[in-house]
Amino acid sequence: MLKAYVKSIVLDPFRAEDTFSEVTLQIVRSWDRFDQTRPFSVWARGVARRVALANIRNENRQPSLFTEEVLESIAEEVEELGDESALDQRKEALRKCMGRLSERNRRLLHRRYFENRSYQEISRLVAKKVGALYVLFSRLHHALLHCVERALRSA
Amino acid sequence: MNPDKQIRPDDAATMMLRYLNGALGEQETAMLNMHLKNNRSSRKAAAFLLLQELHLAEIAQAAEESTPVSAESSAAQRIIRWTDRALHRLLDVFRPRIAWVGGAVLMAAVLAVLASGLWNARFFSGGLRIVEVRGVVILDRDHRQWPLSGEIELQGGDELSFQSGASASIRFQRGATTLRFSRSAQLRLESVRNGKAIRLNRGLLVGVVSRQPRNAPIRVLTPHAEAQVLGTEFTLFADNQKTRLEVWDGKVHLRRTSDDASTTVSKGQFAVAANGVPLVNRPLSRGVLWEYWLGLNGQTVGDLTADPRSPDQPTGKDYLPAFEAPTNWADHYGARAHAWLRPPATGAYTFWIAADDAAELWLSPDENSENKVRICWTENWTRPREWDKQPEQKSSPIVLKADRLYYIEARHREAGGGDCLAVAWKAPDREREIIPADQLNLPDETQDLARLESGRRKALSPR
Repeated sequence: MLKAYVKSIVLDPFRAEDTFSEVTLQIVRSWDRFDQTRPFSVWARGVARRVALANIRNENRQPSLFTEEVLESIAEEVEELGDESALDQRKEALRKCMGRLSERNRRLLHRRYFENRSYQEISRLVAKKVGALYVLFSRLHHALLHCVERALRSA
Repeated sequence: MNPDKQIRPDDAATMMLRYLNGALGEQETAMLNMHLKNNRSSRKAAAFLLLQELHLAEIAQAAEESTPVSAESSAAQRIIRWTDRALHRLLDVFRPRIAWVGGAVLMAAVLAVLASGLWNARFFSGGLRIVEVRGVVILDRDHRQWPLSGEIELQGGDELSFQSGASASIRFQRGATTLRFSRSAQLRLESVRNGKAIRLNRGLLVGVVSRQPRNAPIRVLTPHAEAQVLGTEFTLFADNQKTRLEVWDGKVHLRRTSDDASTTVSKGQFAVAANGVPLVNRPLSRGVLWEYWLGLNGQTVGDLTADPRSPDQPTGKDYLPAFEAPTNWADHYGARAHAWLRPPATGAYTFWIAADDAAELWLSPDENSENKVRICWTENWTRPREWDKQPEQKSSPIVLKADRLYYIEARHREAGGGDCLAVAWKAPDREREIIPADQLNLPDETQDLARLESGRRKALSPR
């Protein structure tokens, strides 16, 4: 999933959406340069990397990034999770799993992903240290992942 | 910090989350990088986390897009989603290429016809074009793939993959045959003798097929069945568990491939081909699926969509034989009434909504509910069928095409006192009327519910 790869570089799900749109455009523009004997996904990730890094430079951000090798290997793991349809099923299961969280945890997720608040902002709102919040969100993600896996197995 | 230092899996997960939020310093990034490089299970966990973060953002975005927008935001503006904007830009870039590719495809088709005998001559003489592409559709031809950005001539062996939310039509040059695909469809134009064959691995097909030669039907092959179409209107949905065929007009022959059992599905019927399910014709139910949430606080429609039980956990559901809910039914509830709309003629349609206390009407430019936009609403109560109390209750004229499916949804909110909800339209050459059942198809998963609950609202009397 190309968008996931873009996010692993721009490090923000909302910026990832805009960057992905530019990547799609760039892929069509550079189609003539694509060697059709090579895998499309690898080439597309190359284009995505160039666009994403250029965007980061334009925004004067300098985040610490994984090496190209590790970014590639994570992208390959994402690809192994299935095609577009499988990922859609996964997203749908995730949406349902959110509904099974406790009110408190659901509110936390809402603040981060629906209200697009930073961890610093949330830490002030819930009076928790940022570090503790990351641990909490990490556990939340873990619980959601288990729920999604269970849902997909029983489907 | 030593990059070679061991990281525990739990710490790796938290560090990954910090990385994805740009909150990991240089040294820690180097540490995690090394850890991921050497540890497959952590890479897998990182992939899950990455995807989950992305999906949560997409779910949030979808929720935001389906939240009521300000009054000045017109339906026309809302309908242009980012995918469309991207595609318009793609089209500008791609236009010269389309001409080139179109020419090349035409030439290839001519050569194919000359080279491959009578069947191919028949197949291509019809001339298949893919038109009205929305969203991202990937064409795979001779192991080359590219995203479509406009009309293109198709040929045998072509494969099309529809990304989530995408739709497009295949139009036959002869006659008025149109096959419209959506819901992450994946298909291949097969080369078989005696007809035109499409292998639909998954997705939704809405077909309007003009009369075909008796010995050369259109064949649609799915993982479970083969449908033979000589001239009819139908929808066919396929996934890896079942194939569901609904026939609106004419007849379609459906054969289950696992045991060769077959049936001829006629107008107003549907059948499901799946393992362990009897292959029988059943009557197709018309109407609107009505889902309600009791015990809801607040007064606005937004309170309904913000409720954690919405949209997946309604208190109950039923079906409405026309687009009108019961009057003075309960207090403190919200409801969603939705269906596929099938216009009787091509032309401009105007819609009205009347409700107590508040309601909104949403319409999609296609069969995909994700593309819906708000077209009219009322924030103050009206009497039952009181269409003209406020100007916002009336939509602008909207051009709809005959025999297309459009997703339509009304959201209703009731605090206290009287309550009602109704949706009307003015179709070309018809008077204003409540949208009748014969133009409304229930969402497919509800057909069985509708059949079972033909007693209608027998247990639903909170008042």
